[in-house]
Order: sequence, then structure tokens, then C-alpha cells
Amino acid sequence: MLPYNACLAVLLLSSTAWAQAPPGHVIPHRIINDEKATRDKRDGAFERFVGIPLFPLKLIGGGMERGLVAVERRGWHKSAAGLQLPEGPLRPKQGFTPLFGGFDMGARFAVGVKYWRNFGDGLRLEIPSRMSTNLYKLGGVNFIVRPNSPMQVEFGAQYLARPEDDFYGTGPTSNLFSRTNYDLRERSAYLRPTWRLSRSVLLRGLARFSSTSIFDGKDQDFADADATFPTLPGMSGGRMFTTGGIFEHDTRETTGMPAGGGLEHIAVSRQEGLGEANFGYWKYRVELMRFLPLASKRRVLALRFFGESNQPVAGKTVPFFDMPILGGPFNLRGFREFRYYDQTAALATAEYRFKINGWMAPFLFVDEGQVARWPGDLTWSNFRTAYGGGVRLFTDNAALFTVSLGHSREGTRLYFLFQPRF
Amino acid sequence: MTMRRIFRLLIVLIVLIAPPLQAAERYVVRPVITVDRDTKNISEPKERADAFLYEFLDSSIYQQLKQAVNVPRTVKKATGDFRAINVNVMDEVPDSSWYTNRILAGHLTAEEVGRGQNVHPRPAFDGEITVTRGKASGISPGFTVKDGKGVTWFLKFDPPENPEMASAAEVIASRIVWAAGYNVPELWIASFRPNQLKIDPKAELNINGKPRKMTREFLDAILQLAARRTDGTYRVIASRLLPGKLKGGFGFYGMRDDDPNDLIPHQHRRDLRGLRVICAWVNHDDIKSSNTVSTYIEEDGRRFLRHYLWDFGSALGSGTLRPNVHRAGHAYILDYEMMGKALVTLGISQPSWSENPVPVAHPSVGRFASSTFEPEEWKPTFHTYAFENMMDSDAYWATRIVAAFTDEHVRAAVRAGELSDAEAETYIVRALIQRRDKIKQRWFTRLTALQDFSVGPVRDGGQEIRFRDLALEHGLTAADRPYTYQFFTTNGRRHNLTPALSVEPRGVIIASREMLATAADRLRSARSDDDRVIHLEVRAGSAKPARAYFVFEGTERGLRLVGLEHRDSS
Repeated sequence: MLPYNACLAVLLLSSTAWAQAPPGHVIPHRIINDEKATRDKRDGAFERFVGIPLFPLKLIGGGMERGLVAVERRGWHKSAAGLQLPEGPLRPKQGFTPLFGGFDMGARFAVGVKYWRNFGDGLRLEIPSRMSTNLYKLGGVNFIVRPNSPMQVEFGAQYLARPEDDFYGTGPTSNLFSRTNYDLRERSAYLRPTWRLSRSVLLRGLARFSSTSIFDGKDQDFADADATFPTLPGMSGGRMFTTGGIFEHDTRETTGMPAGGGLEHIAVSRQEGLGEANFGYWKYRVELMRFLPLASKRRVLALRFFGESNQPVAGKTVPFFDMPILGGPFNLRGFREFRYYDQTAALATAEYRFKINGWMAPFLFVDEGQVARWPGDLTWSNFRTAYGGGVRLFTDNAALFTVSLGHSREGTRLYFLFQPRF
Repeated sequence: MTMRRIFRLLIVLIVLIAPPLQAAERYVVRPVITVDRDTKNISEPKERADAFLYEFLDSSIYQQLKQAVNVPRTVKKATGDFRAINVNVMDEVPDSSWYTNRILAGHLTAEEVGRGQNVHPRPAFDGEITVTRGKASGISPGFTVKDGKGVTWFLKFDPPENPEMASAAEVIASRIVWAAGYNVPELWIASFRPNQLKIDPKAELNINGKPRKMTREFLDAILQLAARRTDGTYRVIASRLLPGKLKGGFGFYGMRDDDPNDLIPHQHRRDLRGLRVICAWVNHDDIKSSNTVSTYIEEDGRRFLRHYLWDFGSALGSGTLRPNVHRAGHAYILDYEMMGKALVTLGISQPSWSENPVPVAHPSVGRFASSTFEPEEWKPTFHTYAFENMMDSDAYWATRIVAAFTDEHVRAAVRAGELSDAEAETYIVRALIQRRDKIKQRWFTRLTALQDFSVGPVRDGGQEIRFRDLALEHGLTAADRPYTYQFFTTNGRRHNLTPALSVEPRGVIIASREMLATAADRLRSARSDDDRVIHLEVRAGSAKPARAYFVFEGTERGLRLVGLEHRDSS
């Protein structure tokens, strides 16, 4: 009844537009009848009627116009798109950059700000801080020595709060109905030397001290992780010292929507518990990406393999909070975030992306992943499958945002991801 | 919704549509207006801030949604009942604060096109040049200077990788747009040496919205971003300050609330609708509100707004800071049609311009070609409401403007770009000529391209009605293609005075004695000129017809021309 009446109303009211006298009744001094035109300008006829359902958008638009004028004057849109004035006197020496989007698994939409300041060419200070709608927080102080040089050193400190991370237990057969949650707080200090050997090759070292505390999760709908899994390594938190290195070979032609090349990222690190924490393990991480154009740079098959294994040394353990996790917008879409934990994880993704304009590309994907205690425990039968599709927004220099809908045997989930890595 | 309700809705729709479709409108005789007096004295309007981000969202999303639900507009466009408002009885656009008939009035020599809008002397950059303001927002720098004679100029540079590209494009396109009839700022190609620049003590530099005191360091940093010649000089576009106070862009939709002279919705102005064809010709795809400006000026004791187009750095093959992207001229930045096709076919259907991109012809030309140019398919970067309202009659009017540019006019405009490479200049001339010819082919054959009707005295055989056939003149049609024509009157209904007749294209139609006698009989009770109007509808092949309107003044005096119209419906 309502759609029918609505259609009838639109048609009948729109007849007033047709009933208007044809334009251009001329009087000698003007191409147009001033009196009638002034009246029309004031009254607006069907244009106003058509605008009624869209009026809220127009109201928002009024505010948006002022806001966007301000954004444009300050060049924030160009900064967001990765376009900046080149280094030099024209680039401001300090400023604030707004930060948007989730920053970690579990964090919903986050906003924040980063203060930055350049001390000549040799030192840069950054103080980012962000908070999400579900109170995940990330803040820190970061110094970069020789930021524009191929060899640079970063050092700083960081605070991370993740108040309601989920935990279902470890292993590929962890029970969906054993959902618990925990509150993780981590304080860390780090030193990261980086050596860019060439445009595509990068070496990075890492020395990091971290102190992790685990508390009862803030989500009251689910049990606390330490109550359900009290003996799990890391459930009491702990302090660790990490040393390691990263090799990265990046031949992607662009980072926004690459249509060729790939990325190889290999990281090896050694974690050692401090004090009472009985942690001691090697972490091996591999991430491989390859982008294959399909008869056109506007159609791309994007392939990704991610593997991580944590190998405890004799008598030591791997804390659960530093295990690889599958499930969520970063990997194995279609499953809940934090769905699978274990010492070892493997994930393969195939994604077909096609551009529909210069900054938007829908995609279809299949994710296959599993976790296990040891690499030898990985089996074909334990792979979990998720598939779906979504849309990616990008510029030439940056992937901005993806929204994806993933389906698995455990249901269908919608994900929003800012600045996706893959 | 049941079938009965759907049926009822269809009946309502048909009832609403049928009268406009079937009515044979009565022609009202009006004087020929050649000047639209929209320059009455008004109080000073506010300055409008331009935000291209907002304009993008508004034009690409909000206005598109409105158009999608605007049923009358859709039906009117489809039925051809969507004429522009500021059109006089001869189907011409009068002069106004928006537009001046120049090349279309036949008054411009090639030399005048080459000089263009520049009425003042070129910049006096021989000696000291004083920098009064700088701009370094985003990545497109420039500054404002006073020359040796104290005249203020705004300077813009070419990108280092493509010297001369943006400056040449800006001057060439502005010459053409000016000759076409639009208001543009005075633009010169100029050059200077860095050591000529002196900084005014009060000069400021705007960096991302924040004013800073201009220093030599900043000046040198701006110059670092620009193309520099081998002899150490910098080539610039020097734009003379527009007269009056700048009041922001005028927009392609709606009217300014604070301008009582602005009574014609911009999307219904023929000069703005037809601008689409001019922009397509010179590939000015960056046409948007922030590339327009209205200035509050004083003239003859009256203060009013005059409306300009500016910033043609993205015309021809230039994308201002780099060559045009592949999409330029082929698709909107948010092109629903292209997106829909790609989405439905899962990316299999991709636009041809992306699969076979036009290469950069020359560093100082950028990406500009005629081979891939389809006049009717050309699109600017942003959805532009006035362009989307363009009817064939608007396009035909603009095509006449384009066709009025001879090859010599085109060469003169391109020479104004002062390209140092003769090959680049030749390339642009050739591409512009070929694009012009494509535009003529499209609209001089889509409509019956008859102009300049005149009537001779009544003789024994009848009265000669003469006209020019632009399609024939430009070699777009066979010399022996016949016209069909018919005389009729209307009085709510159409009354034919002759059957549909056919004549060979000699540029003459005869209003026979028999027809005149029939008209005398039919119109004997007419009391005014409006009652004595005879329509002559002429159709060339399957093209949309042209209609000339005459007042019948008796069998001895015959017909007097009072109007001309190129129809949007068949």
C-alpha cells in the first residue's frame, strides 16, 4: 500500500512541474520575465519537493561544506592521499595529523591525532595516540634519526590497551562456544635500525623490551580467559626482551592497488622472558604476496601466503598473547576475530580484484588457514575455508579502506579495515 | 503491488505525459533580444568559499540522487521538452554578464583570436619583480607579483618533467574559450630570472592554509618545484588580476541567492549547457565551480557580478602537474555507468581508454588525441549539472561556435601558447582541427543545420525563402541529399498548409502562391501577429527538424521571418 501511494503522490505532485508555463516569455528589456523568474526563484516548485527526502543530506552537507573547505585549505586531503610537498622549507616543521581507522585486531573505528616535529634533517619526533569506539588505545613516542636517509634508526616507547580480546583456546579444534575474553595492557620500548639497501630491499633490526599484563576482559557477556584457561602460558602476563631482524623485498608497482610485482617479508626474532616469565622461543614469520594482472592491469589476481611458527627452547613456553591468530579482517575472513590461536599458523589467500574506477575495486576472495602447535601438525583436513567479497578504496600510493563480507562454516561476517596491508 | 494498482499508476503517468507530447503549441511573436540586461545595480554579495571536495560529493552523489527521482526532468529530456531558458527567438544566446557573441557573430580575425582576451600590455618583467604573496598549498605552487609598472599578476609554473605543457595549454584553451564568447582573465606567457625577484616586506606565503612570512628560502623552494629553462629563466603563466572583487565560483546548478540579476537556473543556461561542447573540444575536463569566478565590478555607474571561467591548466593534454590521466575526457571520477558495467561483468568489461591508453604525444603536449575523441561521449572529471542538461539544440549552438573557428583561427590560438617545439605545436593544431571536425560531424548531421533564413519579395512563382545549410557548407553531407519541408499553422492543433514536400538542397524553399492563398484563407479572421504565424518545418534526411516561424502579411507581401528553432524532438 505504501509504495503504491508513494508512487502516486510523486506523480501527481510532479504534475505541478509540467503545469508550469513554458519559460522565456520575453519582455523587451530582458530575455526573461523578471517578475515571474523572481517568483520562481523564491518558490522552487518541484525541485524543492524532490529535495525533501534528501534534505537531511543537505543539512549534513551544509556542515560538510564548511568542514571540507577547512580540510582543503589545510591540505589534509592531499596528506591522506599520500601527496605531500617535498622535503624542504615548504614542508611545515611540525604539526598535527588526524588519524582515522582501526589500528589493531579487535579495535573498532578509532580516531586520534599524531603530533610530529622535524628537528632539522636529522631527527623527527612523532607522538601518535588513538582510541577506538570499544576503548582500545594506542599511544607512544617515536624518534626517528635521519628519517630521510637509507640508514635510519627509530627508538621509542609505546602503550597498547586491548580491553576485550577474545580467546577460544588454542588449536585448530578450539570450541566456538568456549569464548572468553581478556584485557591486555602492554608497555614497550624499542630500538629499530633500518637499512634501505635499494628501492625494493629493506633490512631492519629490532631490540624490544615489553611488559604485558593480562586482566579480566571488559566484555561481561563472556567469561574471563584466566578463569577458563588458568594454566595457559602467559595468562599472568610477563616481561620479555626481543631481538630480531626483518628482510623485506617489495617489488609492488604501487601500494594502493598493485597490479604487478610482489612482496617478500621474512622476520626472525628471539624472545626471552624476564623475571618470573618462563618465556623463551624463536619466532619465524614469512609473508609472501604476488600480484598477477589478468590480461589487464584493471583485473588482478592477488595471492598471499602468511606463515608463522613459534618454537620454544627447552623448558620454556610461548605466551598465548604472542601466538599468531587467525580469524578477523586481517586473515581468515568469515571467522570471528581471534578465533584460532596456536604456536604455528599458515594462511593462504587468493583474491580477484577488478577496478571499476580509479580508486575503487571490488574483490572476491578465498582464505584457507589453520593453526597448529608444531609445523609438522599442519594437515590438509584442518584447513578452515572462508570466502566472500568486498570493496577496496585506494589511491596510487595507499590502500585506504576495505569493506568485506566473509562466509565460513561458522557464519557470515562483515569487516571494515582501514589501511589494509594486503 | 497488485496488477490493478500498477495499471492505475501507468494510466496516471500516461495522462500526465500525453498533453505535453501532443500539444501543438501556439507560437507567440516576440522581439529579438540580443542583449540580456542582467547588469542591474545590486548590493555587494558575499564571497562564496569553494571546496572542490564538497562539490565532488554534491555533484556526484547528492545531485545524482536528485536527478534519479526527478521524474518530470527525465520525461521532459526524453521528449525534447527541455529547452534552455536564455535563448532568443532566433535560437541564439544574447550577450550578458556571462557570455558575449564573438566568433559566432563573425567578427574575429585570426590575429584577434591569437591576442584573445588581453587588452592591456604584457607583463613588464624586464626589471625588478616584487613578490607580494606566495601559495604553496598542496603541491601546486605559485605567487603573486607586481611588475615594473606596478601591475599585479598571478604567476603559475610548469612542472619540471613537462616544461611548457601546462602554460601552453592554459593560454591556448583560454584564447579559444574567450573567442567562443566566455569571459576569461588576461593571460600571458612570460619569463624572468630568479635574481629579478624582490620580496615585499609584507609578503606572506600560504602553506596549507597557514600564513607565513615570505622569505628568500621559501621563494627558492617554490622555484625548485618548477620547470627551469637551460638559460636559467623560468617560463610562467602570468594572469592579470581580474577587475572588481572576487566573490567565488558561480556553480553549474541553481542560482546565487544574493544576486537579484541571477534569475536563470544555471543548469538551464544555454551558454553553460553548450560549454560542454567547447570543453570537449579543448579537453578542459577540470571544469568545475572552483574553476569559475564571479567578480563584483562597477561599470557605467552600476555594480553587478560578471562571471568568468579560469584555470585552464588541465586543458588539452595537460593535467596541470603531469600529463592528463587516461580517464580524462572519457569518464567522470565517479562514473556510475562505467562502474556498473565493470561490476556486473566482474571486471571483464573495462573501458577501451584503459585497455588502449593514449600515449603522451610529447612532453609539452601531454596526453591529447583526436583518434579516441567521441564528442557526445566526452565527460569532464566532475558531474556537471548544466552539462547533463545539454540538449541537442544546445550542442548545435555550441557546434556553430566551434565550426566558426577556421584552421587559421586554430593556428593563431595555438601560436599564443608559445611552444618552443614546432612539432608539438603542429600536433596540437592537427588534433584540435580533427576534434573540431568530429564535433561538426556529430551535431550538424544530428539536427537539420539550417541557419540565416531570409525571405525575398513575392514574385509570380511565390516567395523565396533562403537559408544556409551548415552541414553542406562543411562538406558533411552529400550535395544531393534532399530536404523535406512543410508549411503549417497551429491554433492548439496543427493545420497543414501544404503536404510534406521534398526539395533539393539549393538553399531555397519556395512559399508558393497556392500556399500563400491557402494561408490567406485560413488566417482571414486573425486579429494579431500571433494568430498569423506560419511554421516552416524542414528536415534533412532523418535529422531532427529545424523550424522557421513567419508572420503572414498577406498574399502580396508574403511572409516575414520572426523566429527560428532547432528542435530537440523529431
